[in-house]
Amino acid sequence: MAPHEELRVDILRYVGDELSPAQAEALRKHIDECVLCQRRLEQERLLSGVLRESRPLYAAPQTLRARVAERMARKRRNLLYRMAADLRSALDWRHSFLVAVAATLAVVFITATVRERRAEAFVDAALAAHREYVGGGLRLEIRSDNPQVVSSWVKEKVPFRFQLPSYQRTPRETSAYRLVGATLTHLQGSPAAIIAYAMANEKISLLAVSSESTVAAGGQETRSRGLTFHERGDGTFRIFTWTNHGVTYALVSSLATPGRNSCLVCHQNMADASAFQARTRGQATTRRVDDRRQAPQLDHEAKLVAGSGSGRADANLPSGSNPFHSPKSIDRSSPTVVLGIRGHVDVSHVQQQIQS
Amino acid sequence: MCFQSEASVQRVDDLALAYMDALYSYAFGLTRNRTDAEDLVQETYLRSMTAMNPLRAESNVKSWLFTVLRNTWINQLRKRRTAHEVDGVDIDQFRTESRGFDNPEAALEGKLDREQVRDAIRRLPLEFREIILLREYGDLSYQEIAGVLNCPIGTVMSRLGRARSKLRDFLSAANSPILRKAGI
Repeated sequence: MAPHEELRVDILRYVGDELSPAQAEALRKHIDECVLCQRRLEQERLLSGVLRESRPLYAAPQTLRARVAERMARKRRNLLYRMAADLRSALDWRHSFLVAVAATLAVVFITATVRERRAEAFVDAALAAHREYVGGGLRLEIRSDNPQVVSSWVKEKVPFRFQLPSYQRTPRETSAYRLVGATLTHLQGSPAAIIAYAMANEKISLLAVSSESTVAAGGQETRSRGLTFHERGDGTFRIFTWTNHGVTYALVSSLATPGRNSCLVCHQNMADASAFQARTRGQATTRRVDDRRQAPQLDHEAKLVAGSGSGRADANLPSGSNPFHSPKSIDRSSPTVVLGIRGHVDVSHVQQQIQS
Repeated sequence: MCFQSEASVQRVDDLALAYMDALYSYAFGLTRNRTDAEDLVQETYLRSMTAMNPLRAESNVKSWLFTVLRNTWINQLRKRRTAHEVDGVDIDQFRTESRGFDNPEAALEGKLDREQVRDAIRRLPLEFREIILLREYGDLSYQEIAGVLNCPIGTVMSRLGRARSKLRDFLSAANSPILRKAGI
């Protein structure tokens, strides 16, 4: 057993019921045999009794008790109010977020719907004009196979920039398509131009209108030269629509005519004409192979055009470029850049046309 | 965000208010001033209410309150730089607030005995004074006292032994009738 002085703490713990049962039992055995520890235990018990009798040493004033109770109640009310406010705020935030998402989705949906309907209306107008042209009911206000003459006539009458591809055909050159003339119409109250082309057994029309009045959308999308072409058919005719330089175009031809052939309306006298002319020679079974072989050749042609084309093209456009969908980013002061863009774009354009 | 039911908050408040006498005694033992003790108790309840989590507080709300009170007092001391020591205590205020006795003589004896105990405790050094208050009037276990004072439990036991020994000496010197009756 520990010495008596060290047992002081154990006696204190015994009085305070802080000993374990085993420790308490061991101490009781010692105390039974030790008069000194018996005396100490008695003293501690007496002191504890005196202190217990003096409880509460200081009683809290009633005024303090009432004040604390009142302030706690007030603080509890504020706490509950704040929690309720936090909850409302959280719910409001979630509600606002859902409303914002719903509004955004509604705006996106409405915008897409309106855009689609405007595009469909434009296609319907182009088809109606083309049917009229095919049926012989379209009266051309100007008849000429000269692109410059037709361009000048149209340019004076429409509020958008219009320029047909300009070229000088050599006596030995033959074209797949012939410019017939043009006439004016109105779409959504906006002036529009109908350009008529013809070949032996085929007629092609091009409807052009300011892109502020309509939009090209829907159908099967094909990207080429930084532009997006939308192709669709109505069972009889094939329609390509696209937008470039603030003008939206619709090119309508017969479904029997390969889609890319109609592109020759503009491309037949340009640097990449061979890419389209290849398909006009009845080489359908070997087109993909031919186009792969043509890719480097197109690059070569583009370089030749860029280096010597100043006398062939419209003064406002890079030589050999197509005003209907020429790349917007062509740097006219840098032939190298032009070559790079055109060489690359020509290849992809041809490949995508083949796939279509 | 913590959402507490009003009932659970109310329950903890009621439990906390039940310890007000013990807290006030401890506060008075620390400050030795009635006004400061009241402010300290009030501040303790308001702070505890904000910080206490009702879900776990009910099991240990008492030691939590004593800890908050002591920390609040230490912070006040630091702000004041010097402790606000009061030489005397208004005895009358406690006489009216003390428990009554059926026997006037016993009541008088009880008040006198209580005042002798108060006086003896008041004369103890602070570290002895507060450990007596926590143990004998706050009913905190040794472990809980160690938590409030932030010291080892061995220190609590040895300090409490010395504090009681000193208190016994003071009470003996006062020749208290109650101690004589108890044979101390």
